[in-house]
Amino acid sequence: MTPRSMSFGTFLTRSLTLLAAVALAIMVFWTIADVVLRAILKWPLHGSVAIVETALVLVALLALADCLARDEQIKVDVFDHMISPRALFSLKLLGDISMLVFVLLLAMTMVQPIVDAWRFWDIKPDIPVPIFALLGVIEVSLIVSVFVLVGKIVRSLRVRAGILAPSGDEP
Amino acid sequence: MSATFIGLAGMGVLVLLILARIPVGVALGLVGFVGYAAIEGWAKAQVVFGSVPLELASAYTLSVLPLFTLMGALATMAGLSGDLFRASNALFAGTRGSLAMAAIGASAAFGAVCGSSVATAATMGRISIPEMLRGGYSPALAAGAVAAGGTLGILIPPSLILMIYAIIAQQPVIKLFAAALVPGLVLTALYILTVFIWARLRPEVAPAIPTESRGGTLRMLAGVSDVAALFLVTFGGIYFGWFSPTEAAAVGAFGALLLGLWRRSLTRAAILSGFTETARITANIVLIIIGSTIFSYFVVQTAIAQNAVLWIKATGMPPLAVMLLLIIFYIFLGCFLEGIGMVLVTVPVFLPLVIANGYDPIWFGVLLVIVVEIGLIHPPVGMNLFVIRAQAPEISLRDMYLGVLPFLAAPLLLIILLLTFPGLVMWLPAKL
Repeated sequence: MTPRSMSFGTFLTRSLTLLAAVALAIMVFWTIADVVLRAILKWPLHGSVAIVETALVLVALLALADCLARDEQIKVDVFDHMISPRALFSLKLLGDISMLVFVLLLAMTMVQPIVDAWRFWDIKPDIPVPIFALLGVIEVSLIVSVFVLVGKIVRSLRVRAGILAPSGDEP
Repeated sequence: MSATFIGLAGMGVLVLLILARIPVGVALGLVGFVGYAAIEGWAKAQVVFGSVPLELASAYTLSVLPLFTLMGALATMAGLSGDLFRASNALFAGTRGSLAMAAIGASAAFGAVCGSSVATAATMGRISIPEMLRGGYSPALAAGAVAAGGTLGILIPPSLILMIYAIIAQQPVIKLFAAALVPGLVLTALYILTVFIWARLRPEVAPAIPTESRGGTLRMLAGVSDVAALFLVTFGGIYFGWFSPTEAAAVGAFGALLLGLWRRSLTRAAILSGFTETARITANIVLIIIGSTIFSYFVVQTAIAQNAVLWIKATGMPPLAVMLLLIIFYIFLGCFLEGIGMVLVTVPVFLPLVIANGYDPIWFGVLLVIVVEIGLIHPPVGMNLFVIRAQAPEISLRDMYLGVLPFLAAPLLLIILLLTFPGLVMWLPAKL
């Protein structure tokens, strides 16, 4: 897909994945720098653990929406060929809807921890990264994931109803 | 309604949801949330649900997961598997079945830099199956050797499944890696022995191949010394106390990157792809771990594990019988469920039972990986078989199923060895 033909949703999810990849690179290079400086100059980098933990939050959750868009979750699909296409469509739709409920629940229950972290201005030990910012990144990732899933469900229903041509990605 | 009854009902619903194609992580998370709420109330369930993502996603111990995954992704993209296969082939040249043995040996070596079974089977299948078919090998032996060899990717450290088990069972990942090393080498030897016996009994399945000269063998082995050095620095560094597991994983990933650049086999696009693919794999696994953690909080509230321990004590069943029942259950579960799913769904329930029966959680982690390996090559799921099918569509599924059958004896024999000699697993971690 060329950038010109890429939808805004795809652009957004892939940009978030790219940010996650940058965070992963930071994690690798910072840790290597810490190991080398500690071994050669006996001068470890301050706050390495906190930086790795912060980068990990970004790596672990920014690529979530891209994962959901690509339908990469682990599921039991051994019985797919034993059921009718209609039943299979219903099960795939049910899977997407339950994923939506799960992600939505996570997004909703995280609001209070974000408010609390903001109110008490919790920060990570060693580096001045506010916890609400990390929680905020998770929340943004979950909200984008909700939009991805809603888009996926609407698209598959429209394909089923014959309004849209199938692209091969829908249930 | 008692908490135990709610727990049992929750597990029934979980099985139904998983069989109904609901993603495993989501099924775990939703059942865990609703079940927890039914026991402790919605308000408490919401607090638990809201705290899990940050608690997990920023856990320092989890950082080995993306770093070792990146090491494997870069090693795969750098094409290290081709050189490993050629070196392994030079080592076994002259023995009947040498190409199949080489595929297994190279898979074990590749498993030392890559923690994924599917990635090991895919890369090794692409390289070794065409060589074996050209050499006149039976398709069944070719597919069986690659499928079985691929399973070594999750036993020989670093191992994705062991990293996930370490998080769920709260065990030190480095002890688990050390524990899996000897069984990984034993299983490699057993797979090679399977090829040897098969080729002896039916020589037509593996025609003899001309022997490599001694100089050629040494040259081939020298060609992969950098890969061996990467493994030794990464894991030797932990053993000698130079690095923590996270630092070793970063050194491994950085080393794989340097190796690929030095061999001129990593393009900028491949590096970018390695990083983004790792980010997606991590996000996917973390979401499943979030679901599994919520589920395990629910399981703790139900007291099912404690009740199961009391029930088994009351029946007077010996620990070995309990373990054999668990192994049979896991092999059956492997017919339907993928490895990560098996670990995440069952460990919160079974681990207390295992510990109560006097088994070490480190030992159980290694045993669990071996039964997951069996699931990777036995039908109907047999993920490695599907991967090979995609790589070599000319081999029929029937040949693949027939080809893996003799190799299933090796992990079963290894399980018997582990039950008889637990020291095979526990010896190396005790030295750390």
